[in-house]
Amino acid sequence: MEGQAAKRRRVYSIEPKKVVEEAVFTRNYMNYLVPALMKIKAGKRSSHCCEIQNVVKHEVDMAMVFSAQGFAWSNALKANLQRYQNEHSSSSGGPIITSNNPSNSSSKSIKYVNKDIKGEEYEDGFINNNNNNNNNNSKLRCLRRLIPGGEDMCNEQMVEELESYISCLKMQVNVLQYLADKNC
Amino acid sequence: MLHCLNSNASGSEMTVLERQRATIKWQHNNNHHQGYSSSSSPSPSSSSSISLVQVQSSSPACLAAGAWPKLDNNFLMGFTSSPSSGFPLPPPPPPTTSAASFDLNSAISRTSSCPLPSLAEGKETTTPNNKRKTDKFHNTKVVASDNDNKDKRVKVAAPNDSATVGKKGTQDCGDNSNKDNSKVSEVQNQKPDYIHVRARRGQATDSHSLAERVRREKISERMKFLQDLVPGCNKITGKAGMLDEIINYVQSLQRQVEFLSMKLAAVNPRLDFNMDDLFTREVFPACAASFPAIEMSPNMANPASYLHFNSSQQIDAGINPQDISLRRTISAPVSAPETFLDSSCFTQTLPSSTWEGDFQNLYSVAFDQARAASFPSQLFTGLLEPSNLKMEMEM
Repeated sequence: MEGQAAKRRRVYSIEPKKVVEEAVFTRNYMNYLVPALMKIKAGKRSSHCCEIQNVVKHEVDMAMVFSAQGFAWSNALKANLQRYQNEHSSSSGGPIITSNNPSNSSSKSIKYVNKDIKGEEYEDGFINNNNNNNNNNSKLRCLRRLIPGGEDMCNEQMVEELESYISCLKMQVNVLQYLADKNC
Repeated sequence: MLHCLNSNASGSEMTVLERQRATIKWQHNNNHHQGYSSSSSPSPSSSSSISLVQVQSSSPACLAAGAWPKLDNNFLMGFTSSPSSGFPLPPPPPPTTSAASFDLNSAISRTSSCPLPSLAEGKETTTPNNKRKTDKFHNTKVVASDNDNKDKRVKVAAPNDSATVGKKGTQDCGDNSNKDNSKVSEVQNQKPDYIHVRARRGQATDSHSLAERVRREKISERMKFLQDLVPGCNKITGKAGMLDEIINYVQSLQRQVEFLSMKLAAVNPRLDFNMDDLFTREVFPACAASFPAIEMSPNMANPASYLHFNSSQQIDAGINPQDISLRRTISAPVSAPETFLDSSCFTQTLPSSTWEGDFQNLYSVAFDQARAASFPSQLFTGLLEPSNLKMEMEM
């Protein structure tokens, strides 16, 4: 995903705010993930543990995408995963290091740091005074890296997306915790 | 530049006295039209905040030059939020008819076509005379804002039909009307032509900066929602602190997800998901954390019964109905008895690790046995009834 140094396009959503319900999300998530995990278990018996990890992580993220559709971040995550999938399938060789995992936010964030700076300062040039400005800017930049697809969002959209993203993350953690505990 | 609405009046001869009389008349009319204004703007601040001034460009001859400042004071006093103060502002005039009743029409100009949007974040303002920007009034609805707060006011250009009066104005009215620090009143009309923003005294009038201000305030509103989501954010009021909290929280959640997925990958060979059909059907809000508290007590209550769990007939005794219900949706289909057992297995294993090991094997045995048997669906229905209620309470 190419970052945009210039002013990001401001997207103002006029639709009512979409809320992901917990029950629906959880059900969808489990519906996706459990069969996927079973498939992994059945299929790759002799795989390297790292590869399994990657695949599991991939499925976890796909489940997230599947369960929370309609948000900008979920679309971005989906794009990331598909890109990862392409890369993965092309290089069918050895284990793929987890750092290449697109859902690992820190790895992809590094590329965009420089571009972020320029874009950020243009947008937030008027926030408070300079000290606060820089402080807030860096924090917003941090947030932008954390949320998938954040580089393409303007501040306002990002804050909107954050709401759904955080709640979905929480639900995802709940489900995963349950699954992991059940099988430990 | 004011538009002489009432062409009959010879504006140039308007005296101050007549003007004052006219303002009183306005007050009357305002009371008359109270219903109008309140109906058009259900927000509580409407009475205080409606401040329509439709000022259009008009011939300067309408107004004596010297009379304008005085007029301004009277005129703008209507902006005060206290409704008792006799709000001299005219109510939205029906097209050209009410104008005739005012002697002052020539001085105070309104457009007949644009009715009030009851906007205003109801604070008062008395625009200092020297800061009045007449051109900003052009074809817009003025929204009063707090004089103290030096915020900018946003005026939305109204479409010319009166049907949109007050419909959108109430959007933001109610929120901010009673705050001391008034916010910018952003009203999005149904057919927004453009948003007029008025800079406060001492603020930059650059359109860019004004737009930035608007955006920033929108962002602040959003941050308030985030405060509810992120635990522990309630006490923090500063934007920077909140951003920190949010960042930390998101990072920790993501790390948790990674860790848990790695854990899942590690136990993958030992995955036992034969009850996965349970989840494919109905899964509760995964209150995995809350389950221990709920299920611990009932399960601990009769551990002995589990030991006797050898046959399907004992399922009703062994399985705590609450366990089942907690994993069931309200209208649990009884068509798949196996899934009930699945849920019970789940619930047993879920809460804690202390007795999990004890019962897990037990249940796997019982589970297999139970699967073989065919349970009368009525049994489970009966079990479910009371537990459904309980579940609802806990949910």
